Amino acid sequence: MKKTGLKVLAVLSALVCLTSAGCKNDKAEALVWGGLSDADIWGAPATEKVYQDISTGYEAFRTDAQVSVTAARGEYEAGQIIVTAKDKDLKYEVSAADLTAADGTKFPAASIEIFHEKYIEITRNWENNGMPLGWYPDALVPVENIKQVGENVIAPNQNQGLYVRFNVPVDQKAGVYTGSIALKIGDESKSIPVTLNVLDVEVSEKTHTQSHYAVNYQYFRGELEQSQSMYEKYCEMLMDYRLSAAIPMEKVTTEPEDVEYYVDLAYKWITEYGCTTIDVPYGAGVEIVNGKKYNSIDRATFSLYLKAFAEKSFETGYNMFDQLITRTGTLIDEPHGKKDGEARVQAVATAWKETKLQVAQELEDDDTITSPIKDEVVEGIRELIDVVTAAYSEVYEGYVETFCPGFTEYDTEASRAKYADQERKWFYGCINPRSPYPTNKIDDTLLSTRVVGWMQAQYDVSGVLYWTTTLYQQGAESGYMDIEDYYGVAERYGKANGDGLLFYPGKRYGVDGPVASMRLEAIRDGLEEYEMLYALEEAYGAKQARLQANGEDISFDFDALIASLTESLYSGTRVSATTETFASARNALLQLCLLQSGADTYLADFADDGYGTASYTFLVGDGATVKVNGETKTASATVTDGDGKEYGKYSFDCALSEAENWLHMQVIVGEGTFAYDSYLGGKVQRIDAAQTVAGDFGKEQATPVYELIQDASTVDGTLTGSIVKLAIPECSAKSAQSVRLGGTLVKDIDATTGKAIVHIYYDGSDEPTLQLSGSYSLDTVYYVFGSTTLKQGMNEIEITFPSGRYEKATLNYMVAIVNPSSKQAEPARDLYFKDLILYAK
Amino acid sequence: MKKMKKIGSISLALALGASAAAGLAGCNKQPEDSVDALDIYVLHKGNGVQWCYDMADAFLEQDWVKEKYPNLTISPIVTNDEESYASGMLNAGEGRNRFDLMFVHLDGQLYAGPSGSLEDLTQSVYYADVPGEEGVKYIDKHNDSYTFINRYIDTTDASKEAYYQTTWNHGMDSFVYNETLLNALGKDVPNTTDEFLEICEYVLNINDRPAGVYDKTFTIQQAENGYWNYIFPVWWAQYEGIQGYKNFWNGIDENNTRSPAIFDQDGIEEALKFMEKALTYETGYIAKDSMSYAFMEGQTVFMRGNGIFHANGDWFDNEMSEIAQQIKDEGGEASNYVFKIMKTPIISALGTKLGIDDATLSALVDYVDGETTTAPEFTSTEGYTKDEVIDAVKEARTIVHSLGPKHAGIIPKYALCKDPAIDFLRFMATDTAQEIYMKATGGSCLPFEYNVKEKNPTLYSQMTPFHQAKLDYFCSTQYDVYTLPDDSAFPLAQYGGLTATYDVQYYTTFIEEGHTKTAADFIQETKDTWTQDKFNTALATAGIAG
Repeated sequence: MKKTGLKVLAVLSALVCLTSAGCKNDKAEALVWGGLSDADIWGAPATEKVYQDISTGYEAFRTDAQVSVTAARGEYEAGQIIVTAKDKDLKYEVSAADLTAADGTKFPAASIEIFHEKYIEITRNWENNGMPLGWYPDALVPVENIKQVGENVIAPNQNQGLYVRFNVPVDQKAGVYTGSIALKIGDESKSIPVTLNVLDVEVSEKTHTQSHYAVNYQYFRGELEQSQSMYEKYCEMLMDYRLSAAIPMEKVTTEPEDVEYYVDLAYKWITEYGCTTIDVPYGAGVEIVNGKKYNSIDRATFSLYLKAFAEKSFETGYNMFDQLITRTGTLIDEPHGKKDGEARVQAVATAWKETKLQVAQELEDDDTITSPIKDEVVEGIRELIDVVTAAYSEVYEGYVETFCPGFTEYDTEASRAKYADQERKWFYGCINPRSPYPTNKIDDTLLSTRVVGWMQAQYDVSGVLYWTTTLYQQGAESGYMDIEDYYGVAERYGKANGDGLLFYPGKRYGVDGPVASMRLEAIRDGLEEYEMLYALEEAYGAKQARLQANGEDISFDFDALIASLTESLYSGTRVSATTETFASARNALLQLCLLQSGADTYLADFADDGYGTASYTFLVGDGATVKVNGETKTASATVTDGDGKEYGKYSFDCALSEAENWLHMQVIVGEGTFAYDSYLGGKVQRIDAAQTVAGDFGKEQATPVYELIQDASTVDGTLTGSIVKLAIPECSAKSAQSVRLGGTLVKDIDATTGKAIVHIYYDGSDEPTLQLSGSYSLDTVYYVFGSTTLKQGMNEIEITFPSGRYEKATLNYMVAIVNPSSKQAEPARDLYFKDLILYAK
Repeated sequence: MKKMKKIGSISLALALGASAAAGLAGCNKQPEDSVDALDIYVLHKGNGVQWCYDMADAFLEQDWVKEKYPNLTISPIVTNDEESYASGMLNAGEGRNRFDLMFVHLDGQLYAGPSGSLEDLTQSVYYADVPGEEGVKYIDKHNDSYTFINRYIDTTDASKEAYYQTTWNHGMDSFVYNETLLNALGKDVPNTTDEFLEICEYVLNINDRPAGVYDKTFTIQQAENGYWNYIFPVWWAQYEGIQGYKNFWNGIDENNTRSPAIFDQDGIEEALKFMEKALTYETGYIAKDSMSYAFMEGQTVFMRGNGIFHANGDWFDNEMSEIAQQIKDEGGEASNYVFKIMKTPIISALGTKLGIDDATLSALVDYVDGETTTAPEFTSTEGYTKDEVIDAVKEARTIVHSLGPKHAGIIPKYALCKDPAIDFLRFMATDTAQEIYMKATGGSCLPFEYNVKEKNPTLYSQMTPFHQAKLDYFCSTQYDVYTLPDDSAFPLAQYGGLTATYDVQYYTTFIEEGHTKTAADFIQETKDTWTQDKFNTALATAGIAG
């Protein structure tokens, strides 16, 4: 039966040898493997994707073959080695060794993990962000496991990324550690230099954010094992990434042993893994609203679990309700516009609220409970939140307290204000929103994913939700279908690549549990940066309190501090970060952390005057020397905190007058020098009213009457210089009060312009909305820059110019529309144009 | 049943459904698939299939065809009324789908594109000459609306021009009316929707009408029938203007930016408000038992005099030709009824928008139709000039909705007999083909420039009053009829999921007894659903980036 046996073997080989580009088992003997000279070895940052099949376009970030990473203590941070095969197949092996600092301190090899980047094909870019079609790196398989299945091979003219991740223990001594990674190609070896700069900044082991990243949708199919044990492996892996699966059991029931297991495991996750979010199960029931039945929670189930958690809390003395939430999203997910949406929300929210209050009351009235944390637990039940995936709507007032809208709802100040009163803020993304809003999609940048952590810090959003991490099936009209290759098929649901897919099944590579993706790494990286910002804000808050306690009139504007760090990363929630701007922002953040912890220095205030001058105020611990751009500065005042510690107040301006403008600050304390380097942007150009002509302000739907007023003080005594008066006539309901701004005002706006500030004086008191948009050469439809409310007096309006495909387009003119959504007649108005300030990138 | 003509040695074959073996024509055995045998499938819809047989006959008789394809035959044409048959065959793919040329009812965009299964007709058909008409390109003779509709949507590059389908019907949906009964009432064809409702109200209040006659103002077909929904976009576009209508589907608001403010278009709500007024069960304008009719039954009841108005399309005449003959043979009053299709009444809200009263609007309609030679005197209370008002009314008058865009003529990429199939499509642009089609369908048209009243008055005179009325409109020298593009012609609808309203069940909602959902509710629900987030997703999915 030899022939049959061989046939079977061949079939098995074919089965093992899947569609992966690297699978060449059956060709192995026929290949002539190349050596080092047949490879181009180079380096790349972990913030970039190097495609398997695209050989160009990496000039901006490509380095020599090296890995150089800066990390805080308690942080994961990575770099990439890229091996590009020339015209021969290559087989590689790679291993790390201990790194050593100058004083002999070791950074152990065991804390350096190297992963083989597996590629997945993108055949359609659904994000329309200009990223190419081709093979994207995503799954990270440990190189040992890749080698075991013989996939440590690189086909000619292909790139192979090696993801080198450093897990810096929180107690690692700060310092510069060097060493090498051994890369063997064929029979030849090369040492890749490695530099790990560990800063004396600590990333808290405790996670201060909450999250709900589900493990569901047939996760077990790829693992060929459906068990509570496997399910827990996935959940535990998520916790390694500072995320919460939130549901400890794969199957949730009301059986006493299951309830006990659920609660006990939740306790373990919270106390041993630092899990920050656990769902309270609520079962499935029916409620009647206005005589109609609606699917709702099951009050008995919800009550059962609330009491079980309370009991566990009493037993252990730990209030688990600090980490508990509910998410009735399976019942009332995005109810807007859906059939009976309002009634369903009412049904679910009412039952949920009544049940938790009833349980709280029962416990409160139960005198047999003598736990010292009884009051805390009862309060915790009353304060339990229900995270509802929906944008705010007044229709749900009184029912929904914790809206979890999409990222777009946090894009503008006005929109963010709707959630200002929420005890805890949440947001989410999935198929939508699309780029330039943050996404976890494969055909988007890693920075899009990573900056969410920064947005959370900036907008005080404590929770992020993601519908699933294990979409091991493919959505279709008729339901979900099995897929053959769990490492292939990027588009699994709803015209999105990689949505719902942050893990890959480890079974295929002998990994007991899931394999993570580069996108998951980016999420954790962002959450670690959140922890740095969180700790920094805590430190600033504590210092401010001590200063104020001593009567000092000092307030740290931490919002301004974060804004100064993030303005090159995103605007609102629209991401524009590049590797370069991100590195600069992260570096500035690390420096601020070091300044605070090492030099007792605080960035007290930061402001841009809207005319290209950045102003900074630092409080520096007494006894330090402060230099700014090489010049020694003197404190303008001294303040003292409640502990008697003195601080010098250093205020200075940085004019954006050069092609590239930097703030290089040094704080020298004893033998230590602490730096703060912030790239401020390019040269600022001011276009004054006096430089304009009538033709610069034209008709869109209204024809403005132009008048250059040489003495602006005649308009308002506080104004100086000249100003342009635009008399905009009234308009009927059938037209818009809109004018064009062109000529002098736009001729210098190009791809190097990052943003602009326009100063418009308004003498009315009706506070109309002013929308600014732009007509670009690549579209007949206008691009909306944004809207603002015109207050009486001088208004400063910031415009951020779009990146991506717009960078290659010409801005023909801008359009200013008053009350764009108005369907009524508008009265005549006078707008006064003062100037336009262009900020170069 | 009309006698089917034989084509050479071919006889008409009955086709099975999509589950039948690929390419087989039911009981009759098909000749082997070959490069010399043109295999045609044609869907049997309201205008019948005789046109296809006649067209095939004529095609084979063309000298240029005989010269180019001396061995060409046409296999028995396969036909059925199963809309899903075509998609089934296309999905079956090469080796199982033997058709070289298919006249179907489906969204060709789904099968088109460089990686699709349809032949690219851009150069071979659209930019080719019309046979026998030197210097006249197919695309030049082709109706501009349909050229737009048939253009392939490439979401990666909107500037690319490609066509993968042609259209084999160009008609209109509107109100069919019983001219005899309308005249007996002393009423004219309504120019505006207010006039339409006045007639409905008048009929409702007639006291001495004979039992069984006039007790229903108009007959509505079965409850799920969407014929009123077909006319809805016409009223909407009349109000907003053609560009405004297209702007909606391109996601462009009144400020020339892309935003969910597109749902602020009043035209949508005004169209729904008229429909609500006309259709509300309790008002009593509709036949209360019409919800139980199947569509043929409803149409027959109407032809027997139950009702004045009946939403339908220009295929009505052909579709009801046998019933009409039957009624005629029976004798009686109904045998003398004359049915026509009217130009869609102009939505009266347009007059309000333009600042004129309904009587003025109606008079302006007469003027733009050429019924009067002088425009009425008026002053717009909304500040519009006279020319602006007249232009708006004239544009409104040109707008029609047609099911034509769904009638796709396609060639599978793998067709064996491809060149003759391509030439067949080109042939369908000739004047000869226009006349063949009109004759076979009793007066329906193909989407090409062809004025039958001028070019073949004899043929025109042989048509029924129904089709003459329609052709008077289509061939008018007063204006060029504009067929609204189907939603699927716009990427934001095709790929982004954009719809006029979240819930599109207007007809079934309004005719339901005790309905509570109003036109305003439809709009509000839509605005609540289409958040900025959802809108941005739709833009991105449609390949329209911000």
